Amino acid sequence: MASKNEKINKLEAERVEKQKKLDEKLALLNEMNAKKAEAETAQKIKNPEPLNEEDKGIPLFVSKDTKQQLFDLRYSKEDIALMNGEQAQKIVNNLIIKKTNLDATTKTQSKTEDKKDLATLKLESKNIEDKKVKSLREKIFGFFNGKEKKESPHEEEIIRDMHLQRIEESRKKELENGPLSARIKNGVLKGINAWEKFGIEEKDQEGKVIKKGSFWKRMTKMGVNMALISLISMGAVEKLAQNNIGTATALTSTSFAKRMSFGLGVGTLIEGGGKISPKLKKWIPLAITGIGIGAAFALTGGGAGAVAIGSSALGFAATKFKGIYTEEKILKKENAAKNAFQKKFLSKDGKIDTSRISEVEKEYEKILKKYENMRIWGKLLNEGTKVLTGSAVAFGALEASGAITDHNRQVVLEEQHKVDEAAAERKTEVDTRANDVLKARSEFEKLRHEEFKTVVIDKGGSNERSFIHQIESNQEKAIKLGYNGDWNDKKALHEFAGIKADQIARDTGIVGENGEQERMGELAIGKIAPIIRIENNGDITIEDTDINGKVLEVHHSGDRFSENINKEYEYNYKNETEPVNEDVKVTIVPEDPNKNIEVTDLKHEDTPLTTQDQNLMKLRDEDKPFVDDNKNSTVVTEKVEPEKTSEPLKETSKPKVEPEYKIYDPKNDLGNQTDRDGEPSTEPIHNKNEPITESDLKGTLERMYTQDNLSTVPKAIYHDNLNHIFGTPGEAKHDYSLNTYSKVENNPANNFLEIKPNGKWAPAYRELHSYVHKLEEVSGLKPIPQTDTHHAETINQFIVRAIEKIEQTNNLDKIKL
Amino acid sequence: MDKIKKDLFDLFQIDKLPIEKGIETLDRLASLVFQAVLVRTLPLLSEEELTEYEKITDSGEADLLFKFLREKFPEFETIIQEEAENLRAELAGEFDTTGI
Repeated sequence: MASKNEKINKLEAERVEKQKKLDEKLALLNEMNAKKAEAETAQKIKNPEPLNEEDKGIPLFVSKDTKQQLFDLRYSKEDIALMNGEQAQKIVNNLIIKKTNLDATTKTQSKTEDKKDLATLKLESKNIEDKKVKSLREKIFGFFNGKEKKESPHEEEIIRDMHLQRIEESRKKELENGPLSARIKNGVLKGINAWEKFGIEEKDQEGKVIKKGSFWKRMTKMGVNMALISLISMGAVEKLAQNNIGTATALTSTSFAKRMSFGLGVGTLIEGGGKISPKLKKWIPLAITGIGIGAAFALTGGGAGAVAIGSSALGFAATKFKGIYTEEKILKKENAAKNAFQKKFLSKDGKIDTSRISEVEKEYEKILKKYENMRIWGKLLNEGTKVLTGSAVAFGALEASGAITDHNRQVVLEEQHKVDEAAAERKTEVDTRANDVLKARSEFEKLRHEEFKTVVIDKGGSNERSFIHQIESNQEKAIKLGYNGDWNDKKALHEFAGIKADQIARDTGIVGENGEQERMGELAIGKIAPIIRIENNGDITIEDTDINGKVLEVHHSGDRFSENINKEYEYNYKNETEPVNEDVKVTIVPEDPNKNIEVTDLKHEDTPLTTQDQNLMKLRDEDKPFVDDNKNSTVVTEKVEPEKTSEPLKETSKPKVEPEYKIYDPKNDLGNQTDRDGEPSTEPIHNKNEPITESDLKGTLERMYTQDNLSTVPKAIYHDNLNHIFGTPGEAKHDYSLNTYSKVENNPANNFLEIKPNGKWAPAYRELHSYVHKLEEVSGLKPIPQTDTHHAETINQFIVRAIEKIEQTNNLDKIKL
Repeated sequence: MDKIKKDLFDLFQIDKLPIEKGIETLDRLASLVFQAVLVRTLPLLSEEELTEYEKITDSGEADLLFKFLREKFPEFETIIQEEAENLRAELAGEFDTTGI
């Protein structure tokens, strides 16, 4: 019995001991947890956590203090943070309790310190009260009672932005977690991303531009975005003028972007009953300014990154271009154009060829309108800031005039920063990225100056020598001038360059009909270069350019040799035999991207606008050779010499080249017997009014190849490229002479490619020739020739077939013109 | 008291914002509507149509997306209006709650 009791006692003791140890461990654990909780609380207070999921979407309280205040509220001991009804009431209750405690403390203090007067005690209690809590209490009460006015509009802006951000994140989460397939989700994201990047300059990680921005694309984007949020109707966007620059968008059929760029009278321009609020109408011109200036500084990842520049910037943009179109200059240009016109259309006895009456009328009207518009622009620009800022014509309007391009926008900005008082006040707000661009530009200028070398010509050296070297050193220029041979075939290239240089010199009046020539004098050696410029309509001009890029003199196609040459650096060389100096070194002056573009014909718009608006609308330019993002600009500024009568023609040893362009006549120029000995000349497969049937191609091609069968992207490229070559209907380029695609599209493609373009071909056909060769090269296809039983593949069919093939090999980028 | 229905331009008082902020806000709102439109429309495309859509997104000519969608969905503009209204109503409601 005793041993049994001992055992029981022993067990009991062991149990007690174990329990004691357990209790100790438990106490230790509790102590650790308490410390941990205390540490976590302290950490939370020090480093606030982000909002929880359930807390999002709840209106956030914004105090007049900094954002840090929000975190303090949320992670204070009372756990004041986000607000919904329940939480907010909790916050209020806590604050009431706190105030009660403070009051009690104050009262207690007043009792024990009765030696102090009542006023002092009240003051002390007031000071004791937590000012922050008081402020918060007032705000929260006001929030619920609607009595508290917001501290400032800035707070409301922050609140709106936060709401927007919340919805963006919410929608993003919905997409990620929603029931759509992965492919659809990816498609949505790709669509959004593509739209956000549209028109925005993109750079790689090194800061190198990999895709240039486009002002006109950004304009289109703004219009579409306004339609997306129903500020205007999408139908209205469609009816606006076409933006024929940069994109093949079918959203617009007329120059919407250019109309937008004028800014004024937008409501009257939008057809179909679209209503625009007055606020929106006033805002659009300013937004266009922001798009035009700021987007030049956009970085990868989208976003405008625009510099905040107000309407004062317009004034300085105008100041920069004041004097560019004076009456004197316009008159000289007009006279030169009229002279060229007369030479082209008048016979030797001064009569107009009646068979070309319609062409004559079009050409003359084009000249009249061109210089009328130039006078309008001159008036606007010369009148300075008052005109432009008063009319709220945006930066884009100046760009539409050709006075500003994507390339020289920074120049305007730079000048604006120097003198604009308003910008000086906001200088601290300027996006630092803008400064980086300006800095990069100044470095570029320095580099360009170092690289700027002039044509070094031996004394008495000719312009033609420079032309030859320019053609031989610039493949793009050579192709534009009609070279379609192998670039690496130096002999063929040199032969072509020689012929072309001579043709250009005679065509522009540098070489006269009896052998006289303008040559660079001693003052020009090392300082001035005659640069070949090729305009989008194919016209060639020669610009005598100095080392700083300033154009001293311009020679146009159709100019006659004049005795009254620029005696500062030229002289009249009269020697029928040109000395050939193979040792002459010639260095080519690089293309200067910072050139202005001449305003060309614009169509008149019949809109009920003010006189100034009407003037501006007249300048809506659908014909202007606008600078595409990836093209060099062409410039026309000039010093026009008065016309002189030439001496009687003399026999020369050089072949006479007619400067006028001849219409490409397939019957005469295609299938010339001398080009292909023994082969019969070919004619177009069929009358253009007769459609090609499948039987025509049976056995030759597996199906009909027409542009209608192309999918969206290649079809757009098809149309874009042809519009680039032949011009869009309505453009001056399209109306010029009768060179249209429809006259040649049904000709045999293989024959067309075999022919070498000669000097009589119109520029558009030469360009088409190069284009079809390019398609042949990139696609690897060859046009199918005529057989005994089937017609040859036409030019258009081959183009379509080649584009289809190129799409399959993902090389469409290589054929975009 | 009847409240005047405000459009998104007025809700965000875009005309009172700095220009770049206004443009950015416009872009963000438009992206939200466009996203909603795509969520509604893309699932209705056939396999081939979806492939064509994807090619357009890769082409760099994003404006062609709208042309493409307009061709596939005659009610495209109605969809845009509906989604814009949904966004407007959602934001207006939240602004009211916040008291702005």
